[in-house]
Amino acid sequence: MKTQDPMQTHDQKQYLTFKLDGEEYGIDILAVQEIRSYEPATRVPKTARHILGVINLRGEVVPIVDLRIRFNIPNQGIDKNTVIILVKIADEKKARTVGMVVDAVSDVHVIAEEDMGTVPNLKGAMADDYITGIGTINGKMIILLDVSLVAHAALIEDMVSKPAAEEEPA
Amino acid sequence: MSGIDLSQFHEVFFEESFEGLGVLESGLLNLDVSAPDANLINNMFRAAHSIKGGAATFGFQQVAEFTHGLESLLDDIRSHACEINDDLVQNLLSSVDRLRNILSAARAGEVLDERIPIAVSTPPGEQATVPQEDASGSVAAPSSTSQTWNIDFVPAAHLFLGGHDPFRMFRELKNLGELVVRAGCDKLPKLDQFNPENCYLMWQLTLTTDAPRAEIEEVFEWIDDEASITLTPVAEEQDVLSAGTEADTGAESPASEPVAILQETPGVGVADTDPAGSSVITQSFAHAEVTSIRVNIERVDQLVNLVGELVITQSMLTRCKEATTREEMEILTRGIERLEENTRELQEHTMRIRMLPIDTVFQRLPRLVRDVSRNLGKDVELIISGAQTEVDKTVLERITDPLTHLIRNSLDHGIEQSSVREVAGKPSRGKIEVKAYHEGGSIVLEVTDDGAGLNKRRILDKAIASGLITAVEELSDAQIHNLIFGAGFSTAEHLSEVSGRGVGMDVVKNNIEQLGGTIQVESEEGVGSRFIIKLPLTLAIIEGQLVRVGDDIFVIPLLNIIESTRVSQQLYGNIAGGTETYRLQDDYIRMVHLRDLYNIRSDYEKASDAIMVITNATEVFGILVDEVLGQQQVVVKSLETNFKLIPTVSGATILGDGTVAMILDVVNLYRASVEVA
Repeated sequence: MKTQDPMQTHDQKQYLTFKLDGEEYGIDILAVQEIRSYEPATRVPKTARHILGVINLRGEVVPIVDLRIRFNIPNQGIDKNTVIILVKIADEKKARTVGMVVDAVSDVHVIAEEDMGTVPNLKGAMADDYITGIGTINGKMIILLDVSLVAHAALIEDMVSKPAAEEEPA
Repeated sequence: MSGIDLSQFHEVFFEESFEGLGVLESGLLNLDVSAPDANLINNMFRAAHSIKGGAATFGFQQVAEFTHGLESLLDDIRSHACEINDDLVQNLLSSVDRLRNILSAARAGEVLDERIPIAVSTPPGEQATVPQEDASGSVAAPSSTSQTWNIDFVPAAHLFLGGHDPFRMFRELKNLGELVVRAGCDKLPKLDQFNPENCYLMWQLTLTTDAPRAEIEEVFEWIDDEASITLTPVAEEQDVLSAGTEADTGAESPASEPVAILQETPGVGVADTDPAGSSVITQSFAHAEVTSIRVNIERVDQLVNLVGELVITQSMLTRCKEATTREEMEILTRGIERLEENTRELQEHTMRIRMLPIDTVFQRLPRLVRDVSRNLGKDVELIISGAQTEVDKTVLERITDPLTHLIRNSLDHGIEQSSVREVAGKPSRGKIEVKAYHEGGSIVLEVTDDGAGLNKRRILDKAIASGLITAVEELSDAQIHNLIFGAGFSTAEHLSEVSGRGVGMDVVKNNIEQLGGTIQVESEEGVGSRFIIKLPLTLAIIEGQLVRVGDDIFVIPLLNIIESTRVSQQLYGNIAGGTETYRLQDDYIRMVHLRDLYNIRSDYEKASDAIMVITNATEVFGILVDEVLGQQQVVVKSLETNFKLIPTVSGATILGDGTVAMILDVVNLYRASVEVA
């Protein structure tokens, strides 16, 4: 028998929320490794526009994705609130760290299953593929993203693949 | 036993097993058939025994079974129960190959198709290699009909101290056939004298099995010293090891047979058309990713010492963090100097952990030369020197294939048949020399043969025919020789099994270039050829030249750089269509703008305002940059985990100021620039 207290149920998760162009998005807090203030990245040639490049994270070379470019958000200014959220994603055996540039971090919320609204048909929205649900906190909409998909897809797709890339292994 | 996760030891087991295989292989190759060295045979036996023991412990049934046969045969050789001859050695070598494949498969978590080992190990008249391998049961050898054995098993009191468990052995025996176990309690002491760590029991076993005696003895092998075991057949003793006769049958079979069968077996998938057998080794190795490394304890101790020094330096520095007085400042300066020294030493020693003697690659060469020269009917001697030269493990792993190919090539195209050699006034026995040595920050590998040398006329004809060059080109000897590295170039008039399948020197060259190395050939007709491979000692740290284009800093490997120069207007040319050229002495070279290739902004506008770094990759060409900065050692960080292959970048590095810079892959940079244009 489940208790009524949302803090006790297993159907709820903690989300780190951040702002992108005024809207709030949430990602599973367990995936978040750290939050850093914005720093310019070193560009990596021949990569998609939303990949800002790589930064040095204590000796590790970590790619940085600008979610605002990825989601086609026009306002991409950098101010003192702009941060990089470093998320750790594990695909197959390897654990990778990827940074995401967002406008600002806002809060940590507990969102219970029953607070999740139905996701409308979002065909055409840039973030369509990455949305796992929409939650409501204090009447405010929070768009929940699958962080591994965001980080992963952002890197792999849209890569400018030159014919040379195929020739390389030969 | 239970509760311990054995899988954590698997990697160690595999590594030791592969080492054991090396011992077996080199032992077999060094074995003088006319006067076998008992020590050598003992060594081989022990190697096989350890592999089997380990495999049984870790539950790699297939490995254990196969090795068991190998071991039994070695045991027979050891006890002179069967005679050694060339064919037997050849069979054993094939068995080693087979075992290597089984092991590789087991490492990858697969079991090779059950059918295959049987097919390979028991071709007609081939039982000698693996006497008991008729695991299918249907083709039981005539000598192994059912037999009942009485086994008296009286363990010593300290049996358990050795970690032996009699029940495990009983279980194993039970697998062999019908087993009746009776325990004898005669020696049980009174309770007050009872030592729980001692074994007071003895057993009498009756086993009905069709397994040979050796296999039963095998079960008790581990406790030979710690128990008395009497094995008596109940009926007449008709079977005692027919291995001697089996070996004879084995000797009659043609030497190449096991290999031939390997090829025909579908599912092995590694032995394609190459009879040299060794391709089986290299290819199956290519898939097994090596994840651990064995390091000499001395090196680890050195590291610990260095870290100790580092800690001392650090505390010294902490003490004068807020240095104000002159003395304190001096200590601070000294501390920083020491820190520099410590860092350098630590770096050197850490790198040395990854360094292994090239011996591991060279070890396989005698086998290769033996097999290939046999196959070609040539008489060739292999001389190896510098086997202790150390090189980075990654380089080591990736140099095997090109080196193998080079040697095969020398055997096939270089060394002539004995008769031809005699006519030319050379010793009838050909000679291939493989040498490794250090030179500066590189390792040099030389493959020299005293064969026919490169035939310039034929190379030219072939190159013209395949469109690599035009008939009118005037080429120097070196240029002609280098044509053999062109794609799809092969002068072999007939496609032999050994080489000449189109994948030729260009693949070798590519492989070496990918490692950041170079290959050259020197040759004189009728005297021989020499291939010289130069490789960086390590892939983890490279000497790099820092260059700047606009706001971006790139690293160009120093190994690729010939010189840097300011672009002079007089030497600059612009061919219609936008291809810019530059005259370098007598040659015209291509100019590549990083700016255009990467779509970044540069300070210079016209090429004549830029600095050109002249590099040598596939071809000599110039890279245009704004500024040439310092040279430094850079630590290569892979980008591959996060990015799909970026063709023109070989990795990233972290600069002194903490920012990241891309390391350019010059070879592919050139290719990309040609494609864009």
